[in-house]
Amino acid sequence: MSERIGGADERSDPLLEVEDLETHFPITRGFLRREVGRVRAVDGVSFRIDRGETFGLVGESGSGKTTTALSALRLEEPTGGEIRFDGESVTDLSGADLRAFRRRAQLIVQDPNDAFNPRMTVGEAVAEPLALHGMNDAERRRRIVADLLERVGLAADDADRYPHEFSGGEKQRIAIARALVLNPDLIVADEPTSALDGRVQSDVLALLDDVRREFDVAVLFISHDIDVVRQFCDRLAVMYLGEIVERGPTAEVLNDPAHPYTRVLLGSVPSLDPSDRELARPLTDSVPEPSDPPAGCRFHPRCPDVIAPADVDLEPDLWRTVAAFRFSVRTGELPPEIDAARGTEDPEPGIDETTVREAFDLPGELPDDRAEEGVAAAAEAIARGDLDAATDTLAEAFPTVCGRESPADGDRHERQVRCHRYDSAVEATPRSSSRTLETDG
Amino acid sequence: MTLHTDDTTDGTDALGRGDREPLLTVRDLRTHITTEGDPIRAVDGVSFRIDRGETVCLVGESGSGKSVTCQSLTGLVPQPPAEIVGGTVDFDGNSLLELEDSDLQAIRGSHIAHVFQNPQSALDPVYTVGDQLVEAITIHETVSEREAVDRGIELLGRVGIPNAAARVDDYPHEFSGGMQQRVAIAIALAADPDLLIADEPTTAVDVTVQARLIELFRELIDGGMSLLLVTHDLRVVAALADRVLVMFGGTIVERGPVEELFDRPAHPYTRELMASYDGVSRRDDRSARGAIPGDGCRFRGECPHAVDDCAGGDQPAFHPVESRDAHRAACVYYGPERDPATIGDPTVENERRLLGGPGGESRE
Repeated sequence: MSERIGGADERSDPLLEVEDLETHFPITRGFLRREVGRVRAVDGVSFRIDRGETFGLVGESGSGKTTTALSALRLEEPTGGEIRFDGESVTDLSGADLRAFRRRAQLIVQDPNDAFNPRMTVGEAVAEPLALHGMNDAERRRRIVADLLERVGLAADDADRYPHEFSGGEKQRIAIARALVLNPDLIVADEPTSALDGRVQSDVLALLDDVRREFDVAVLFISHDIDVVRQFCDRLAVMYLGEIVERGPTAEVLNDPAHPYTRVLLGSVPSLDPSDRELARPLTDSVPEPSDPPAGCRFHPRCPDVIAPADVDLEPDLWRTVAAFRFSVRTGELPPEIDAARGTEDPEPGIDETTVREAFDLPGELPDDRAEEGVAAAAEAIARGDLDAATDTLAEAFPTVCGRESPADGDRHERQVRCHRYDSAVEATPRSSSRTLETDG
Repeated sequence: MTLHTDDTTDGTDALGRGDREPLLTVRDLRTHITTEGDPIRAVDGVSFRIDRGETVCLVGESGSGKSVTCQSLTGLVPQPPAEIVGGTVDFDGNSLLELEDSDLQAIRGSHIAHVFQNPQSALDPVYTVGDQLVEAITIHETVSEREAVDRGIELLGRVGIPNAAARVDDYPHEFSGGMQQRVAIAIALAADPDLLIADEPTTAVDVTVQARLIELFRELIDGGMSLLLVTHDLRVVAALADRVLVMFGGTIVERGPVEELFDRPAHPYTRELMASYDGVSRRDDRSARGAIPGDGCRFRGECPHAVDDCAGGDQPAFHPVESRDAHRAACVYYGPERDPATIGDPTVENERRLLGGPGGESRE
């Protein structure tokens, strides 16, 4: 157990502090490996994990959650930002210092089958970190391993068996034992239960929860599974396209999500109540490439709460329809009737402005003159088959602050939300309640 | 033949569902798998039916036999090592287990389609999706190449692939995982099947993509198709099922309409499965468990309420839960000799689960 560091205020005792972390991967072409672009896998991520705390990083594939965790451990080289562990910078550590840091921060990976050398017994695998870090007393290593195996629900003599003799859940128990063997302060668990299901999953989760309390170890927990995060994490951060969009206490965020992306994410998880079958949907489905994220808020082309231009006066639902029209045309997510008409080589595909409006649920005429003008021009361009012109027309007619300026982290109750809706400088009220609360009454 | 596990005797017809006609009837299906040593009774006396336009979910954990069950229906299960040792599968008047391979293949190509967890298994990487759609369409329909391509584009549009006319010439790897699954579904739909058997179709995709696939399945069901959905994810079951079959150790342990089964999970196994979603219950013994018994209630080795009657013979008879014929549990506690109240009240925990759910279940 490490000593408490001085200077930390009483309320908190930060173990890992990550500030403005950035991990970009170059995209190279040709023999000379000329850099032609960068995948901005992690792009300005900040968070803090206190001693003994469980912190979740939640997001979908491509959100950068795994790269964030690996970068925090320096298993992936960050291209920017600052990482402090126990008050000391680890950003520039190397050699023995880096090894010492890694002893205190251990990693558990998703697939237990990837975690073990098939030719090594379980005992050797669990003891390996001890030997690597200089414990030469074989008998002592053996004792420690036997203790740990029993602690994770296996038998001491399982040490002599090989990984393939164990089920997926048992292997993940062994991985937990190995992560604990050096008595670390932090465990980074990357989707540790995703390869498991049902009761085995919750058993392994319960074990991880027990041992992290017993050994007083903090956990950075990476998961796409909301149920698992809800059971395990004290606080969480939601990632989207390399950024943290919302972070706060788990219950707060899950029960009353603030960021529109968090709402879409949680609203996409089917309810366990079969009579409640509503699912959230973003404005558009296409997820932009991390090498070319949208300007402004990265979620804005998919955001159901994207902010309307100040001079456009439409009811929120109607504005959402118009915004969906704007961004669907841009991503090419056209309704089948329009899409099919475009596909035929028929010079007169048989769609007109009215067909376009109907296909996009737009009314025959919008109550706002400026909006009507933009929509009419775009619908006419689509009927002509000129999607690019329609895209430009709509971008010009419906500019949004969300696409212009990157939102800063705003505070809302106990959490940080990166959304213009929570930015006092932008004239837009936060939506009062989430979709689920509205519909549940 | 064990009549007590037969869906046709469990009162489903008495539910006012008489207007629906059965499409698939499975009776006492048994599939054993022999790799080394004794055969594993992967499917051991499974009976159920699916009506036209109905969605039935087969839910259970890895190794419960749910995938082998659905692969046995159309002979997709590799034989050997598997062997279908008993039972009947009646599909729209055809006895599937008695058909020749070629006839079975014809049914698979036209009336019953499969979708799997991994869409790559259904897609050939060296052909464009258009080629694969055209092939699937022309197998069972005589149309010109041009018509087949147009129908392929229409199918891609129907499963929600944007810009279908252009993308029909793309190769599978040019699509994201979620889009590949849509392409696989489009190919499955090419034959306009009466029954789609989907085995963990959303397990490998992100939750926002899963939501769109769930909506797509709903549209297909609204169009009259029947769906047999195999999944370990109770949330997906709640989102799609009309009726649910809970599998454990190669047997069905509980069956019923989705609302009733989620509201009052009856079998101790179903309750444990549901409790794993809220983390309130922790199993006492988390260490490795012994082998699942090959007789009686397969869950008895792990069941906190097991009694002597749980052992021996076939699995326990299906008894109605709270006198509801459609909702039944294969558990001795629901029989005439015992009182299910002695194994606890599931509605209390159920309330807690719904209250504690993520965002979606908050109640104000």
